[in-house]
Amino acid sequence: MKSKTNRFGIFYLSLFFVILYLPILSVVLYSFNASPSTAKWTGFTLDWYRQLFRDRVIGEAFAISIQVAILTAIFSAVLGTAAAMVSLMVTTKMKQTIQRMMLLPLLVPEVALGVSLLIFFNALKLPFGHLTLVLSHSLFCVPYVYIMVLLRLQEIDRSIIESARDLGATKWQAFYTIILPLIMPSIVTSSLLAIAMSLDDVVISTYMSGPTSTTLPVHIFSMMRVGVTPKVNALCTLILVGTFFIIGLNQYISKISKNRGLSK
Amino acid sequence: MKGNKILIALLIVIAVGALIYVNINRSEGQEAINLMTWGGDFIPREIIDQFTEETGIKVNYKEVTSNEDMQSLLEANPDQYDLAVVTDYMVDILRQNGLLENLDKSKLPNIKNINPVYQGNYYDENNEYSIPYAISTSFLLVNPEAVAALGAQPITSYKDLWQSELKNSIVLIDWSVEIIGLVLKSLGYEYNETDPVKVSEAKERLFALKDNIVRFETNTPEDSLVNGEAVVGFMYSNQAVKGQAANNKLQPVFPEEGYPIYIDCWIMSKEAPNKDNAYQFLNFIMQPEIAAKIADITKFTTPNKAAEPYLPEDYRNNPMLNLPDEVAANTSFYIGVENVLEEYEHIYSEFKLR
Repeated sequence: MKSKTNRFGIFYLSLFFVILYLPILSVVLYSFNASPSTAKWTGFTLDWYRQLFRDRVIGEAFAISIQVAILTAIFSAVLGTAAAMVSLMVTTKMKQTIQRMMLLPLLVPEVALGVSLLIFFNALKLPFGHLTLVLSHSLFCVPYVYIMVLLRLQEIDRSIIESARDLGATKWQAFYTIILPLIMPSIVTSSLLAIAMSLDDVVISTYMSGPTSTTLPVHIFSMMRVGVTPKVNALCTLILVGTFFIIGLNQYISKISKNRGLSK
Repeated sequence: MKGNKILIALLIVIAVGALIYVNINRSEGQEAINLMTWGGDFIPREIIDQFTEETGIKVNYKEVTSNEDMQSLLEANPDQYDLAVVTDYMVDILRQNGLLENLDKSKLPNIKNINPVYQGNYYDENNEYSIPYAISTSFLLVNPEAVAALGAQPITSYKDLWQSELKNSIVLIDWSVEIIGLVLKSLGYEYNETDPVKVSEAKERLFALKDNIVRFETNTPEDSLVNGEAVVGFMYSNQAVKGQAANNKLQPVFPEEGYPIYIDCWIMSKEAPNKDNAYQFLNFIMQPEIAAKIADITKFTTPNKAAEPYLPEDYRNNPMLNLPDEVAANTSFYIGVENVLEEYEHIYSEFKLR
């Protein structure tokens, strides 16, 4: 009986992954297709990759996207962690209010958020470009950091912090030597998530980028009028490889820190 | 912790590298124009580079994904953008909202090259605000051999799509206004009809087409014809061109009832910060050789009549790209989409759920 359910489980799981990953695999496959159409397979080529690396516009857009994503991740990691720390110190009612306020940007439709940010930054006379992109991306990345860090913070035994304070640590020392190392894995994971979210965004970026800073996803989407070339398949494949690399790195790091934790 | 530090260090290195890369590619304090429109090669970088080389004016190209995005951006920051390319109906909206500059023709001597067939349309009757740039149409792409093999009559009009022999062999672009427009045309009516009697007649007729449709596909409908899944498709001209390039048995059919046209036009913001440079740019791209090069790269129909001798032969001989004037005369615009959209979307979703 047990082996039967196992077999069904494995079957279900493989079906699940096939359906999930087949479309992604087809992108990888077609990035090597000699014909520009996806209707037929006409032979293997690396031409699309060559064209991709020669494409100055994609290179610039990618550089802008990466900058914005990393700055967003750093900015929202600081803000989100601070907010999580604060909500640990205040009353339960206050904490609930903070939590609801935090989730709001995730619930408002992106277009509405984009247009209202456009009007807002315009009223502030901020020049549209990197700054507005980072600020607006942080708006929807901070909640993720906040939630993940808060969950971790709640798991920490308060007596550790109290004993540190008893032994003469200042508030800052207690934070820096006790709390920060404990919540670091959550901060790193949520920052990686923030990078992914920022790299992903099209709608808000369209409104927030100035005349000179087009991000990569906006560039790809804006190609629709002329038609997407297989260069984009090649690009997607490279992004996929990059993503796997980051995920792998993240797991490797958490493995190291876990091992280290055990040896102590 | 050590691993985390490595990761953070890595991210900082990437960020700094990217920052340096972008700053190398940017030179400040130069003469410039800011233009905004769809990306990719809609305005080929080759042409932009050539313009910058000849005039020393830098072109900042902001890429957006839709007409509506351009509208919001122009309304919020009219003084940040000089030029934009928008589709016909959007010219009308922007004009009514008072965002457009009345173009000074004395600074645009090359405007004489523009074919009058594509001027003076409803969105700009007196050619004050817009210059046509790229033209596309939609029509039927047909595989005549496959149609005959199914035992159906040759296709010359929309009416022929309802033949029962064509079961599961039509591919359509997936937009309510276009598809209901096709049905309205087949009944001899005009696009975006609001008369409820005519609309309900079209609805019934639309539902009768359902069995013949094998796929709705907006991005690559031509692939269904190339791989043989469909024998006839209704699609945009640039898609049909790609389809024919992949399979030369496929032929365009301009239905006798008429077909839609979309004209993407240059417009100038009323508060454009670099008007003189923008005029230079507009005049530059209306040169016959340049217009021909743009047409060849983008595979849109050029409104530039004088460009014809400079077009490559395969473009010039392709009726889907180099539209004969009489073919262009049988086209109509989708006017007043906002008045019918809700009703048409409703009918269309009912149709798709059947």
